[in-house]
Amino acid sequence: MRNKEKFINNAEGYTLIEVIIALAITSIAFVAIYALFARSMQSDTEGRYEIIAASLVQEGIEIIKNKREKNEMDWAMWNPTDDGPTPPSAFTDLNDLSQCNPDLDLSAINYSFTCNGGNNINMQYNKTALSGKYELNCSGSGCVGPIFERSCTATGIDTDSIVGNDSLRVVCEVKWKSLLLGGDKRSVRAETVLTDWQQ
Amino acid sequence: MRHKLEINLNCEGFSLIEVLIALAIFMFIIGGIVMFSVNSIKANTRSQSMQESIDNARYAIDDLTKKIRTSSNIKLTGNNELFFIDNRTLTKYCYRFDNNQMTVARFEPTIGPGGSMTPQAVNLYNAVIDCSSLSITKPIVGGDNGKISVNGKFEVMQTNIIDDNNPHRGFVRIIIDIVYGNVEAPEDRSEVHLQSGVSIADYEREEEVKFEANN
Repeated sequence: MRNKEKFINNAEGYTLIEVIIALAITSIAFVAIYALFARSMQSDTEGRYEIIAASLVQEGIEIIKNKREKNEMDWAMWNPTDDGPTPPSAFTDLNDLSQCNPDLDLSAINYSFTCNGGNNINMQYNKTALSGKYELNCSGSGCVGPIFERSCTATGIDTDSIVGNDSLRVVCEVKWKSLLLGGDKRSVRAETVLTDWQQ
Repeated sequence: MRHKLEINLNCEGFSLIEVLIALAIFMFIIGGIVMFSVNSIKANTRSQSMQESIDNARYAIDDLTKKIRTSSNIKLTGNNELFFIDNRTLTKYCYRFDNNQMTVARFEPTIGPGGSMTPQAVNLYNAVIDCSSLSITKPIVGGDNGKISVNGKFEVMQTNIIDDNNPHRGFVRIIIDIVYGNVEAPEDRSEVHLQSGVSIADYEREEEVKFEANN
């Protein structure tokens, strides 16, 4: 009781120091709440990028699959005794199918290639009316969103030790600069094995 | 008891200025909190709407991929309409972007017992040759929320084959653009562009699938 009385009697308002400390504590609390909010918005966007990356990975694998179907028609590709063209060092552009030449000879023993010469290709969405798609090395004001880097690697594998390479392991990966990892890259990766469907 | 009385006596209340300043500060803080809550709720609504549409778009891409892989007679007609016949079920499909939605229309052959078709059924089936014959469409992405608009396009490419006499392969690229909100409110706007593709082994089947009427 005495303490209370004393407290009430001595209450002469706050000192500047007290006010500043109180403000600092409140600010820290508000900053923390805001940071939480900002972080959750970033996670939301990051999740969206991941979905886009998954689609682009899928497209990359389909492009390699298309190469298989083309090669099967051109070279009966899986047969190692057939004469195929010289294996290329790289595809020049995985994004644009019309440029996804030269032809790939999957029959070569221990053959491995990347669709982009070892470098990732940069893709960004171009929103101009004419294109409206993810473009290689997009430039101009129509390019929006994060830059996705796609790379695909196909390696001949021998599953039965009889006729050399009889399958193709395809690995595609799409990377982008993460909003959550402070500029470090996140990636989505998919792997499949294409078999010789002519045999 | 004495002390308490003294305090009450000493209490002269707040001046008008003090009250006004206190109220202003209070309003300022409350205003900030309300703005923050409103923004959070908006962001939540936006995120949910977008997520739903993205899920639908992913499903549409997967479903379309599965169908196109076993299809032929792929036609890309004006206004971004993709028409094809799924050789697995012989169903004819038309996918299009229309009125801020992605829609699908389909026509199945009516096959009777023993695999027979009536001449009428055959005529009806054979009459469907492109998207214009398929009028009853069903929205698959967008359409249930006025704030979501879905657009996109298809690209159909023929893979070059060295010997032109060989059957060609093909590739269909699917691009779906999902936009929430409008340009008037850029702070409450969100967009996602999905792009995927599918390789087609049977791109160039010359003969159309036709049924013969058998009695």
